[in-house]
Amino acid sequence: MIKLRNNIHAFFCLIMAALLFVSCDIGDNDVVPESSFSKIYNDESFTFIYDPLDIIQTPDSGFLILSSTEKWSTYLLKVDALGNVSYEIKVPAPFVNPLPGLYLINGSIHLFCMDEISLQTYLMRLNEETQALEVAQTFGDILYPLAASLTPDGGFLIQSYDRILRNTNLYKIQPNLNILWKNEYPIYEDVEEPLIAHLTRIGKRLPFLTGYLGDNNRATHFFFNGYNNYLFSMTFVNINNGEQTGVINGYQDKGAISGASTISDNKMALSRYSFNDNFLLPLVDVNPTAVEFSGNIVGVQFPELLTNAKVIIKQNLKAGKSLMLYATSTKSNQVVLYVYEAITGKMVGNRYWGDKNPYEIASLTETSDGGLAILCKTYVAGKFPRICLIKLSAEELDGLSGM
Amino acid sequence: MTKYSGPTQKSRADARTSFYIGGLMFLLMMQLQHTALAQKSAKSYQNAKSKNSASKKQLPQVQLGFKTGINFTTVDAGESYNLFENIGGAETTYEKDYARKNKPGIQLGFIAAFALNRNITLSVAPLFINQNFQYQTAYGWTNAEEPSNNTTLDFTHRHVLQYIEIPLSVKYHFLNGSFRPYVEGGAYYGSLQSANKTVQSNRSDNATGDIPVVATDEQTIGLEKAFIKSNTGLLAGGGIRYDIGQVSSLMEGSSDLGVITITLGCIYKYGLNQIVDQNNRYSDSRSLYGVYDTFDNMSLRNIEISLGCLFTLKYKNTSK
Repeated sequence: MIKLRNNIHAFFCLIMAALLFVSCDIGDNDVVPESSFSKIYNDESFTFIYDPLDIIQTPDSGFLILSSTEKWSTYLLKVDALGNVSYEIKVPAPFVNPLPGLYLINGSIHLFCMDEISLQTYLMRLNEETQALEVAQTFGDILYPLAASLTPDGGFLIQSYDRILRNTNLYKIQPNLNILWKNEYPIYEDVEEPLIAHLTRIGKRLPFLTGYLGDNNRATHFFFNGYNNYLFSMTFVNINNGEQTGVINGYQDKGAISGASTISDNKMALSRYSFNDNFLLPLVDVNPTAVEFSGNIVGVQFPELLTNAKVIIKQNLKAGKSLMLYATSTKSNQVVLYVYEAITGKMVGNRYWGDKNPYEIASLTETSDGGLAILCKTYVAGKFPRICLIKLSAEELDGLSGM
Repeated sequence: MTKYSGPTQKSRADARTSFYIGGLMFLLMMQLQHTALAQKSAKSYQNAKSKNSASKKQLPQVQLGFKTGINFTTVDAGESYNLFENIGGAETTYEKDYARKNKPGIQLGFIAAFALNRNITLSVAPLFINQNFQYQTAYGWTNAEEPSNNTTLDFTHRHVLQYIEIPLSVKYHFLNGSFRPYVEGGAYYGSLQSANKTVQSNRSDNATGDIPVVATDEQTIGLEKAFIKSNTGLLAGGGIRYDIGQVSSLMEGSSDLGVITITLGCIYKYGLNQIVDQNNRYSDSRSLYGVYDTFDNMSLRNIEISLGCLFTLKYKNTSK
């Protein structure tokens, strides 16, 4: 009898020990909520449309999302670190055509937009206290702004279109917001119609870009991707006066560079399109003093990508490893992130988001916790364009990059 | 209305599997019972029967059997998680509407009972259990200038979680006759075997101002990664057991089956841990971006009604 009782006790103890062992996942089931989440910002209005453009992480670990709405009006959405809405700003006229790009300068977030009537360019500053946009600088000479970016000295490059002389103009703005130089690049034909279609989102979206070769401390050449000499081309210019030094020509606007990011010196990660085909070129040695044709740059074709897909390319440093992140949109209505090793140009991972309803890439940014924030546009219920934010944790990004 | 054949076939396959498992368990019980009685207990049982029949009663000390029944699950939702956030001034919260009554699930398993004395029994009952729960989500868009122009989209999310559970309990029996009510209390551990979500979507589109376009769709999504493996909790309940007494075997040459006990019990199970895998809350594209759903923190509550049959493997002599 005693033996049986001991056996029973031993049996129950064994079961309890086994259960304690297998239930470890309960204790491990804990994550930092802000490290990974997804949000769709839904407006219940039948008629309102949102076209997200860019995202930046704010000092409070939240995010500021820039979007256009109602074709080209400016809209800002501030969310907290968990993606919950803090406030939104529907910027009234005349501040339209916000350019992709949010810049943290002296603790304040800035962006460029255009005057609806005069077409001049504004640099706007976000006042966090009043939750309103203020004009930080007016650039009366810069009409039809198309693209802008920061330069290593803390100034800006702005690409614009001169509708009278039919030129693309490039402006170097100093950190004190004065214009250092301006240069003109004749197009020789009227491209206002496709430009308006691009700006008001009623036609083909064109991959206007500005940037620089070199590194974060020193630029060796500036470049812009836009109209030049009849073609949609990537033009390299002298950093001191804007004189053209070289070009990667496209074919009209039917074949061109669609995305670019400098790895270091003259090494770039590019993407290009040619009619309906898309090519990714994760490691290209560009010659900024040569005349080349984009169609001759060898790359891997990705038939799964949307025709004329927007491609966002960003460099990402993980534990001393340099990665190039390509975010774009697929024909199956998903957003895809391809991860390449910057040094070798080899793909090390990819991930897709989206199902049923369309999802399109808008932008992405690194986050302070080592993760990634991906900004998308989605059509909820298949018909209403809305902003979608996907936050990846550092671990998820590590998993993608094979670390 | 589009219906895929996959889930239906899967349900049938599950039912078939359950039937086969049940049959197999029954045969196994019978074989165990025969083997145990024939090899170990029969002799002592016969001896005890002949010697002590007048002054002693044979009480089952070790019993083995099986049980089956139905269960009803509800969800205790904790912190709420939603994919949708409102902008544009609306105040919709997008909270899930959990059903209070869910479709019953089934359970099927073994019972091993060890009597410590006349009243107290330790019991372990590993079983396979289906737990069902559902909730609804709804969305709408309206043209402020023309309110008759609107679109609504609602989803019914039905979930089936299949666990292998090991409940350990102590039962206290009252009375001394053949019918003996009991109460029990204990704890359980469940290991998730599969998780599926079937989503029915209904969409009404009044955009044209004419006859609304209504579309219904249904799809099934596997969600094993959405939940952690473990589901632990406490249980309490009661029931009644009926000792049939000595039962003769119908098989020629076999010994008696001994004391067979039928139990009918009801237990309430209170899940202690959060079952949603926090690491994978946003990882399933189909559920998240297709039907706009991500799980709230939740633990399960379950009422289980079971009918069991126990065969006696060992007896204990007690004075009347």
